[in-house]
Amino acid sequence: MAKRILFLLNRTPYGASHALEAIEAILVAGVLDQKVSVLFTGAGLYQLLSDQDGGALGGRTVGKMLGALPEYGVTDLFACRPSAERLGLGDANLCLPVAWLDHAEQRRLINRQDIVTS
Amino acid sequence: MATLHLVNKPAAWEGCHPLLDPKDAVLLIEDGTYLAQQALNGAAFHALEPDVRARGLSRRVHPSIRTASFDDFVRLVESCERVVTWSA
Amino acid sequence: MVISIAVHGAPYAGAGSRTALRFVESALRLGHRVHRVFFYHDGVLAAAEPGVAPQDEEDLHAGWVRLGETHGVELAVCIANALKRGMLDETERDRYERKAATAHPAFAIVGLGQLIEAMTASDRFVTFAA
Repeated sequence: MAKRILFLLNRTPYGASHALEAIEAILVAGVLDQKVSVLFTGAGLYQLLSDQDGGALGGRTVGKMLGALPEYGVTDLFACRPSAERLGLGDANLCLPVAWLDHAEQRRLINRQDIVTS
Repeated sequence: MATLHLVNKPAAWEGCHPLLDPKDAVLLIEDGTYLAQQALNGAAFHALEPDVRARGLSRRVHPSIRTASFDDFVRLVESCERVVTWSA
Repeated sequence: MVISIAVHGAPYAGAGSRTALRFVESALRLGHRVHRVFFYHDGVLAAAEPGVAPQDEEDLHAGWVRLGETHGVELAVCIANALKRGMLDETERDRYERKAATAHPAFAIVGLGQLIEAMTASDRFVTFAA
């Protein structure tokens, strides 16, 4: 039975392998037809920054992997507006379209989920 | 209780705090228990007792925060609808 | 109640693996069914059989093995995260022609689908962060 699963991404893309490995789990959740949402918050917003080149570190590009999410059926992508304002980020800097949520909207998003993980 | 939030480091509080719903509970675990030395607001607060005791915080826990055993931790998970884990 | 958990942190590098172990022990004592422990990220290192804990420190690896062997808790290790961190069972040792299997046989090396299955098959899913 499909569950509503929210992945909360708050880590930088290249400081550890955590971000890449979390995205792999999201892709699999998408393939297995779960009702997946993703919320980018805090430093996790840097995962969405355009012009990334993971090849410079000999690895994959996190932004490019995130770009594949819609192909895996993951289209509910949300981002924390207050975090973006703090980091000076907006639509023009990002490699993927997201829906911006304030804190109250994020609370409602969490309250709709069966499972929240990171 | 709607959501149980786990906070395992003081730095994780920054992400957790703005998203608390008054119906939620927060369990401070591991280094997150250092946060228990002050009054916190926005939800019902608990601190994991072995982590509190190990760190020498037993007498420093703010009276508004309840200490919780591992069995209490399981009961909190039982009585919530979902668990959100915060880490920095 | 059916509970599954994910363990994201390596034993000793952080406190998460120990917290998760204590949580599972309590859940079993209170009569819950623990469907699966899924080791992800650095959490996969809990499977490391060659580790030797000093006498005055808890042997977390042994604690997990005990849960698997005596309580029937499924210990699932993410294959992608395990291989790159040197955690191999006998099958993977043979496949990649390495000298030794490093993962204790109480742990099953599995695909990420088992993480999602743990979520869908359980009443609660708890993530233990690094």
